[in-house]
Amino acid sequence: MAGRSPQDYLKSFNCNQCGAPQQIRGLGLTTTYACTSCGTIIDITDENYRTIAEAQAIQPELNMQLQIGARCELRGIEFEIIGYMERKDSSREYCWGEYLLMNPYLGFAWLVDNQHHWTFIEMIKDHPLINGNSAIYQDQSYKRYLTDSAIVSFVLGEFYWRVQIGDETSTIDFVAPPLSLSVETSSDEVVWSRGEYISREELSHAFRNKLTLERPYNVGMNQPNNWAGSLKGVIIPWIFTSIASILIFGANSHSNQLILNERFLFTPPSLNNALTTPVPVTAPTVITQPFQIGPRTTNLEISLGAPIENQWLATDLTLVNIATQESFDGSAEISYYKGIEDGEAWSEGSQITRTYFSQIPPGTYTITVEPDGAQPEGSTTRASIYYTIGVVQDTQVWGNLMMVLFIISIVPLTYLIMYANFESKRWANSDSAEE
Amino acid sequence: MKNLRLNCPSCGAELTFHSSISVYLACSFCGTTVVRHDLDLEVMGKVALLDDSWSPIQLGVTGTYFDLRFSVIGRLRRKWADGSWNEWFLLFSDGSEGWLADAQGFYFVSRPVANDELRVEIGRKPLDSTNPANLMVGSNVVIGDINYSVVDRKEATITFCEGELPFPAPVGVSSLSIDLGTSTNLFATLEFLPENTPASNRSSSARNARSTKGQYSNHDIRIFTGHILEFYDMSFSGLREIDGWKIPSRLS
Repeated sequence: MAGRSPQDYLKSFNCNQCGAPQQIRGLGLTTTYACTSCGTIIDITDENYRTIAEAQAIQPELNMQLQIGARCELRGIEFEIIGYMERKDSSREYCWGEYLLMNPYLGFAWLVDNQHHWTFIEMIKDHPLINGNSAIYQDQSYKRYLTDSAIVSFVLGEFYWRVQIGDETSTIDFVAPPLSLSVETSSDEVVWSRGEYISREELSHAFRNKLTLERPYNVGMNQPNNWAGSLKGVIIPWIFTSIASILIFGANSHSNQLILNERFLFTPPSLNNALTTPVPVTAPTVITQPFQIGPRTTNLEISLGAPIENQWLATDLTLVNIATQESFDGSAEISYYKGIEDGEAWSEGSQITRTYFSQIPPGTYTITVEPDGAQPEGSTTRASIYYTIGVVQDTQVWGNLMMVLFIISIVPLTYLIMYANFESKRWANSDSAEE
Repeated sequence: MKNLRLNCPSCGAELTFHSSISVYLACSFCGTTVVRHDLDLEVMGKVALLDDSWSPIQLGVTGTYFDLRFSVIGRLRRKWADGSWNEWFLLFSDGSEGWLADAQGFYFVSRPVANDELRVEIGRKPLDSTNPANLMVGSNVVIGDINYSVVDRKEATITFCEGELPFPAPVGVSSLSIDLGTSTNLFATLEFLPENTPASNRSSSARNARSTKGQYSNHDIRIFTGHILEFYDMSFSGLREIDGWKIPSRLS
């Protein structure tokens, strides 16, 4: 029995190039061995351990994070690392490491180190269906991520196929984080595999915390976006508080009652003092009719409107309680300009504005209005304009609701931005447009 | 059928045929291979007892294939240019036969299908008018009402056998195996045998497998259909114990 008891799962031999003792861990399952000492590639299905390729002149490009012979437990299955290879993309600039795992009863799996983002990969024999830019496997849809090649650049340990430096397969990767699907096509085989992202902590735990793993760079192709969890955590409370705010706002009925609407005449001073036609100067300050506020303390919306054109009108407003002489100051200003430039009509400003007074006690009030303004630009006459002061009490101030909604949206919005930022980093290395 | 017990013509050890389908048996004591003609045994030669493989399956293992129990009563080991795999001959509880192939931790259970039982078409042409040389990875094959595609093709030579087998003296025989996959776990294999399959060709080594390229007959085809199964699906018992490893049990 080739000097080996049936129970002895390790078989030893000496490398026929450098003589270093080597151990075969998957005898009968594996076919190719890369000497851990000199890198010579050996046919271990051959009685004489035929050399397939002379020693590799190169060293691994990456810092190997796991050692051949180490055991781990992943997904409840015990595995032993039996091989390691490095592969490069078609540009031969990007390099990643793949560790071959073996369980003698359950077969092979891979741990792939992609910028220290780890993926546990198993081959699948039932082939997913490709549909445009997605692949469907076991009711899960995966998005196409990258179409490229993979070229073997370094090997160590044993493999179940005739691995060779320079072996090239064309690859397509699909993702549905934390899962991924890959298909590798060579001239005589189509191999599908499915991967699942493994966090550094989980991997370390799988090796009984005997590892010191380096920190990952960037965002991994199938790295789960943890902001999705944060976003999911706040989205339900956000919906509830938003609806509650709107309902509370709406439940407070507002009478929105017009209590004053009065028109005044005003002659703005001319822009140019050298006007030929003198106009009698009238005291511009006016006092409105008395009006009733109440029966409760309330808010007021005071509007100023005038059919102005190419001019401005500003008013200082003093709300005076006739009984108590308590007063509240405010102001309102409008300006409106229009014209034609390069054949296009333009306008800016508005002919009406609104200002708000809050917490006004009930009572009888007047408003003292002191207007100021200007004649239309370019005008050579002094024209008078009518302006209207309107007062509405107990008005709905939507701005308050907007403020509340904005404040309760800050956290979900932040999470959404972080989530989107993470996804854009993930897809930065893809050759498929996201969505 | 009751077990048929005979004595090895070479060493006298008891040989047991578990299945009436079995015609070939390698004595587990001396390696002498015999072909059964009713109750007469014809000595064919000896097989090397070298078993350099490392499968968890061994003769005597029992398991389930859906509702059927099976026991492993024989084995072939096939070698191709870049590796080997095992095919275990199964006797099902209903008396029918089948095969369990194990390769790199994948398990395929299949049962033979008669060519005239099911419609087999390759590119809308019947199977027996197809040149196997034209069956490449990706080609479509219809068996019955199931669409398969070729996922693998390998020329392999039998390098080792043990236990009972349904055909005689296979060591040295080369064939072309074409594996057919689907998007589910349905699986099939077409095995093309060479023209004038020799009854015994013990001098041929695995490496000569390539020399017969292109000489496979499209008239001598074996068809097997079955499933790719998970290790746990078969509820094995009697598996080989491998030092340093626990036999996995299904996660609860």
